[in-house]
Amino acid sequence: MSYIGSQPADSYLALSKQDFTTSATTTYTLSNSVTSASDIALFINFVRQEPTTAYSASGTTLTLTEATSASDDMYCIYLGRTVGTINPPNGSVDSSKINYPLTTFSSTGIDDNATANALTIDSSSNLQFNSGYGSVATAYGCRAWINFDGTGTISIRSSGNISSISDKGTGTYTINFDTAMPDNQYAFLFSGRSNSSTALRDIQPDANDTISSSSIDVRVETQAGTEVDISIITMAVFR
Amino acid sequence: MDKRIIYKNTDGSIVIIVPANCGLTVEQIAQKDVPTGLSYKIVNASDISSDRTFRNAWTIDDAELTDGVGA
Repeated sequence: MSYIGSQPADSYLALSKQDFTTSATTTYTLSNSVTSASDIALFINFVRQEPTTAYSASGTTLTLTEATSASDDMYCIYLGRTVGTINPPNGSVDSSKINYPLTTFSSTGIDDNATANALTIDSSSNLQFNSGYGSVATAYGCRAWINFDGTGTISIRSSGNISSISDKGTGTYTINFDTAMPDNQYAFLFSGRSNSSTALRDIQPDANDTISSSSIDVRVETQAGTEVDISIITMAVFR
Repeated sequence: MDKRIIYKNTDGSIVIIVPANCGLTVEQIAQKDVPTGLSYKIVNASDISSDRTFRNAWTIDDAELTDGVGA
């Protein structure tokens, strides 16, 4: 259907009728608040009454100029105040219609399609989920990770929250975080795979290497204690 | 990223920085990850030898490090 001017949002609105139980009184209570007598069409014994002359209305108070009797039939139709009775259609509310942040959000989380809470964010901004843990508990995320090739032309295969690696010499590197850790008290895990039959002793920072909030050193050593290049070096940082 | 950043450590050793695809430019990574006050050079990755047999013997002329100084 075509419209001239703005299309009315009639899919969200409906007229509302209110029936009154009449008695010998001039005052009734409206179920919806109005601003003036013209906001309603009032019918007594099926005869429409003239606004402001036969009645006045303000807020939820309806005042008649003459009292009704118990045998009268009285109802009104809300004109100026339509009442939403229909839910918005699926997909009709986009993000611009939502007032972020949801400061009154008080949900305890997302359930598990049953009744239990499965995922939530607590008042300290901790992300908590169950996912097989047995209960909803704070999860500690991997804050940085990398997989790189330490042979030939050194290259990063893939990474997260890493800005670069510094090749400092055979088997020695500094891994630089893109976003720094809050301190240097994080847990780090190194692993790798040798590209030769040379047995490795360790892949880790040694006593003189740096572990800071912005980077971490690592060296790959053979069992003889000499640095060596290997083809796969991986690291994950948890905090 | 097909660029590399070269700088010389205070002990004279050569460091080759391999930038990650983290959203920063190679210049931003150089400013961030080259130690403060050390000069650096940005080169193509293909300019770096893939033969690392004598990696610890690599050297560079200070006059080549002309692209900036670590912040």
